[in-house]
Amino acid sequence: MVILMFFSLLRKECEMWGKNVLLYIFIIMIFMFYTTQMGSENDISKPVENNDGYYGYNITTDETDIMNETIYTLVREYSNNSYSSYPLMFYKEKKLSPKESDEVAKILETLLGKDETQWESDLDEYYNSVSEKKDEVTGIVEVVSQQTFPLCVDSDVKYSDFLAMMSQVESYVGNGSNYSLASMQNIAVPMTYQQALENYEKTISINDVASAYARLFCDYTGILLGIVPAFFAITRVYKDKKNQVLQVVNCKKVSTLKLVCSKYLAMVIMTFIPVLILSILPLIHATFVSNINGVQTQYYIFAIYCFGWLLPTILFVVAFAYFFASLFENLLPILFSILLWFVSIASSASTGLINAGYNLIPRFNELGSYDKFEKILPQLIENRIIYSVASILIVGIIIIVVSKKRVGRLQFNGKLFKHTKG
Amino acid sequence: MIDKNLNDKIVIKNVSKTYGDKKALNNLNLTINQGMFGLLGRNGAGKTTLMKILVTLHQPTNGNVKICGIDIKDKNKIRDIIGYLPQDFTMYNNMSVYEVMDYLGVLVGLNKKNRHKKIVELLEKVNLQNNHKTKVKAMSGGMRRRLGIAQALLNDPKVLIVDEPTAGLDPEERIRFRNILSEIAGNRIVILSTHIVGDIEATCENIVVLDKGEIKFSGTVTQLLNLAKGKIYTLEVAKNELEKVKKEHTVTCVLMKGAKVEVRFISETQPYVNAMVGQVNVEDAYMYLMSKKDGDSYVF
Repeated sequence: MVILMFFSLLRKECEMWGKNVLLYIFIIMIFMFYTTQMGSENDISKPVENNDGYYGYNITTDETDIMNETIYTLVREYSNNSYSSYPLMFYKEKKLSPKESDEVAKILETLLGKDETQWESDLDEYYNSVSEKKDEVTGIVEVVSQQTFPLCVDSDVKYSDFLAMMSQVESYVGNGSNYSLASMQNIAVPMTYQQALENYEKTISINDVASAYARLFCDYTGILLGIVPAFFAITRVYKDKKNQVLQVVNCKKVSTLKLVCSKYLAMVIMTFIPVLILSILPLIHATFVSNINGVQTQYYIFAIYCFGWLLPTILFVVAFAYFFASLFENLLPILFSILLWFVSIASSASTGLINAGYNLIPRFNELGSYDKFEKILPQLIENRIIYSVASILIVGIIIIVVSKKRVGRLQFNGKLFKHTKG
Repeated sequence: MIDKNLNDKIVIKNVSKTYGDKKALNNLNLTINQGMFGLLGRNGAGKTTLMKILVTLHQPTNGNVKICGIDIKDKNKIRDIIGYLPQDFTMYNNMSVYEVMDYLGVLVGLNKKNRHKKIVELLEKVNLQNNHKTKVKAMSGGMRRRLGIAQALLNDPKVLIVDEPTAGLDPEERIRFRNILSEIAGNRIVILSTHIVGDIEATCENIVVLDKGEIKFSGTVTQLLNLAKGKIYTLEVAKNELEKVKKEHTVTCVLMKGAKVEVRFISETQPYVNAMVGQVNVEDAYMYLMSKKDGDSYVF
C-alpha cells in the first residue's frame, strides 16, 4: 500500500513535468546539441590508402609529436607576438613585453638547436615553397608545400626539460595557453594509414562499433547533463515557494521521505527519458555503420552506456541542485550549479578530453580508440559509483533539511541560516 | 497516548513562541471545543503563528498542545486529523481543479478509487462541480478559496483551520464562503482566523481575541457584546465638529446625513448631553476591547 502510494505520487510528479515547458526546452537543447556536435563526426570505415594521405586525427601521446606540434604553434605566435589563451575558458590575446619575447626567443633557440636568424631563414625558405591550391568544386583553398616543415625539436632536448620551458612560456602568456600541460595532452595529429588501419581493425575485431558511438554520445551529452537538470530542481523548489504550495503540502500526512524521493526521482526520470530516446539516433547510425562493416549491432549497448555513464551525472546534478534549492528556496543555487559545471568542464579541459578521474563530466572525445578507453575504464567505473553513492547521501541530507523546514526550522529569510528556534 | 477525555478538544497549555527576540505568542492557555471557533486580532497579533503551530508548520518554543488527545509532537498523527487552508491559498497555476485535488489527495494517502469519489463529493460541496477542468490561473479569488477548503477536507479532518479565508472577497463570495464553513462544521472543530469581525459575527459562537501574542478576550460573542454594553454612543454633529469627536474618542462608524454627521464612538461615560447609548454590534465591541490598555484581559 505504502509503495503503491509512492508510485502514485511519483507518477503525479512525472505528469507535472510532462506539462512543464522547461522539459521541452531541455529536449530541444539536447537534440540541437546532438545534431550540431555529434552529427559532424566521421564514421568508422576501413581506411583506403589515398594520395592526400589524410586518415583522420588522433590525440597523440607521443612526446616527439607533442613537442613538434607545440613548437610549431610557439614559432607562429612568437613571430606575430600574439599569443592566445583561454583563462576561465574565454579567449584572450596576449602580447609579450620585449623582455619576455627575448626569453621566448632563447627557449626557441634551445629547443630548435638553432639561433633565431637560422631558424627564421629556414622558415622563410619553407614559406617561399608554399603554394595555394583551390578545389574547383568546394572552393576550399589548400596550402601545399613540397618541403616538410623545417622546424622540429632538437634530438638532445629531453621531454622533462621541454615541459619546464613550456611552463616558463605559460607563465608569460597566462593560464589556459597552448603551452599548458592540458593543452599539450590534447594535441591531435594526423594518423598514418597504418595507425588508422590498426584502429579500425581493433574496433571491428572486438565489435566496438556501437560502443564507440555510445562513448562519443555520452561524451557530448554529458556536457549538457552537467548543468541543465539543475534548473529542473531549482525552478521546481522555487515554484513551490513562489506559489505558496509548501504550506499546503507540508501539513499533509505524506512522509518527507516519500515527498522528497518522488520529486527527486521524477526529475531524474524526466531528464533521463529524453536522453534514452535521443540515444536511438546514434544507435540507428551505429547499426548502419555496423552493417556496412559486417559486424552485428549490439542494440543494448547504448542503454548500458546511458545508465552507467550518464545516469550518475543526472543523479548527482539533480541532487546537488535540489539540496541547495531546498535549503535556500530561491534562485541562488543556480550560481552553485553553474560553478559546479564550470569547474567540471574546466577540469576536463585541464586533464584532457579522454579522461575520467573524479570529474563529474567524464570525457572521451574520440570515435573508436578502444585501447584508450580500456585504460580509463576502471577509473570511469569508480567515478560513476562515487557520484551515484554521493547522490544517495545528498538525497538523505535533503530529507533531513525538508523535514526540518516542514516544522518551521532552517528558515532562510534574508539572513543566512536564520534559525527559528522551536 | 490518546486521552479519550480530550477526543474532541484542542488544549493549549502555556504555549509561547519566539522568533529571535520577538515574542509572537506569550504563555497562551486555551481550550477549543467542537464547533466554529473564531480567532480575532490585529495583523501581527499572533493568529497565524498559533495556527501554524496547530497544523505542525511551526513548533512552540515552550508549552504543549494536544489536539483531540494527540500531542502536537506526534506530527504524523496530527497531520492525519487536521485540514488547513492557508491565507492566500493557491497551487500550481497550470493545474486544473481536479488535478490539484488529485495531487493533494495522493499526499493525504487516498487510493485512486476513494480519491475520485472524494474529489467529486467535495467539489460539489464547495460548488465547483462544473469546474473540474478549470485551471488555477483562471480562477477568481473566491473560487480559489473554495478549492482551498475542498482540499483541506480531503482527509475528512477532525479539525479544520482556516486563515483569513474571506480577505479580498466580494460580499457575495464572502457570504457564500461563510455558509460553506457553517455547513461543513458539523462535528468538527473549525478554527476561523480573521481580522474581519463580520465573519466571526456570522459564523462563530466562541471567540478568542489575541493581542501582542496574549489573550485579550476569550468567551462567547454575547459575552463580548455585553462587555461593551452602555459604552457605545451615537451622536449627530455638524461636519466641522467631527474632528473634535475623533480626537476625544475612538470612532467606530461615521454616517453622512446631509449637512450633519451621525457618529458612533466608544466612551466609558456619557460625554455629551445629546449623545445617546447605541445598540452594540460585534465590531463596536471588538473596537471597545482593543481600546482597553495593554494587559487587560477578559476570560470567561
